Amino acid sequence: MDEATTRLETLYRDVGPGLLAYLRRCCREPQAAEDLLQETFLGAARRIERLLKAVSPRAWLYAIARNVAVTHLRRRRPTRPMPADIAATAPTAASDELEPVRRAIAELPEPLRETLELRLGADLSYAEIAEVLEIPVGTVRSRLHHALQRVRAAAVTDPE
Amino acid sequence: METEILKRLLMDRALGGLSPDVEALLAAYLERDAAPAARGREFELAANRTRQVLRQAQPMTLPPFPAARVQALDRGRRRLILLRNVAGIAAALVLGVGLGAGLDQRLAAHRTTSASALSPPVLVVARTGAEATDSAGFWSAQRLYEQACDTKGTHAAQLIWDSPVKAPRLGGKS
Repeated sequence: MDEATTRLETLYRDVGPGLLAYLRRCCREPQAAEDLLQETFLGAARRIERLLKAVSPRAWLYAIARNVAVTHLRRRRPTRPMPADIAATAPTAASDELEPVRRAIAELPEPLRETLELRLGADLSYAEIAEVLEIPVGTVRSRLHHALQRVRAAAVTDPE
Repeated sequence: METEILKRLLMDRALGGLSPDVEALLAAYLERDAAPAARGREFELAANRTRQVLRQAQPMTLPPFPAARVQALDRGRRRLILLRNVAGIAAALVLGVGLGAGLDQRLAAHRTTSASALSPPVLVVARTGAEATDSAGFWSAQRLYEQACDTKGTHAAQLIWDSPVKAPRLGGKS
């Protein structure tokens, strides 16, 4: 196994779980998410030179994963998943407290929700999100601020 | 501090987007002002709950790394690079040979043109009287002419001597 493949395998171990969670949130199908994860890494293997030169390989992998997920969703159905999908996922014992927040996130416009997910779900930096979404860092900040203000409105009105 | 700027800073802090220096400065500022500090806590609460929602534990097993497929792709990529290099070298060779041949043809054509344009120097000797022959001496052109005429048994108008390594020959009739 050469250096590039070893590097890719290391990234798979490090970034793979986060990417899988991100892909699950995107497509809502655990099996499809696993396939998309493998497709993401095969896509990365096809352009391994770019991966080795990338400033943030993690951001680059998220960008590939996002494209793979978008292509999958387009192929599967003509529209993006309904925002309410988030509200329907993974109810837990503590979900009463989080329910308004979950609903608020689900009701966010797609660009705001996606940016918020990449920041607080995948823990990407502002610059990495900008790279993944191919938008300026200023736009990332502005989207995050709008999203957080909406979620805050739901979170603080939640009876504690 | 301006309210709008403070609000943006509070949100960035809640989102974890502030540098440690700015965060320390903001914390120092908030210690003196309770109202923005309370608003900051609200943003923190919202961010934490969002984090909780987005990272809610779901049973997840990472599928095995597709090593075989990645290696197959890698082999294909290497083969493609090799083919590309060979094709490049072949193209360079074809181009080089083609240019060389073209250049050679042009040079040959140029050489022919030059050769016909630059005809060899011709020594033309006119027939003169016998007295001149006598005075010219053994190495004179006139003597050579006479000798050539005697050999051929005729009198030509010209003696052509176009090369120092060839014997002179007789030219057109007068």
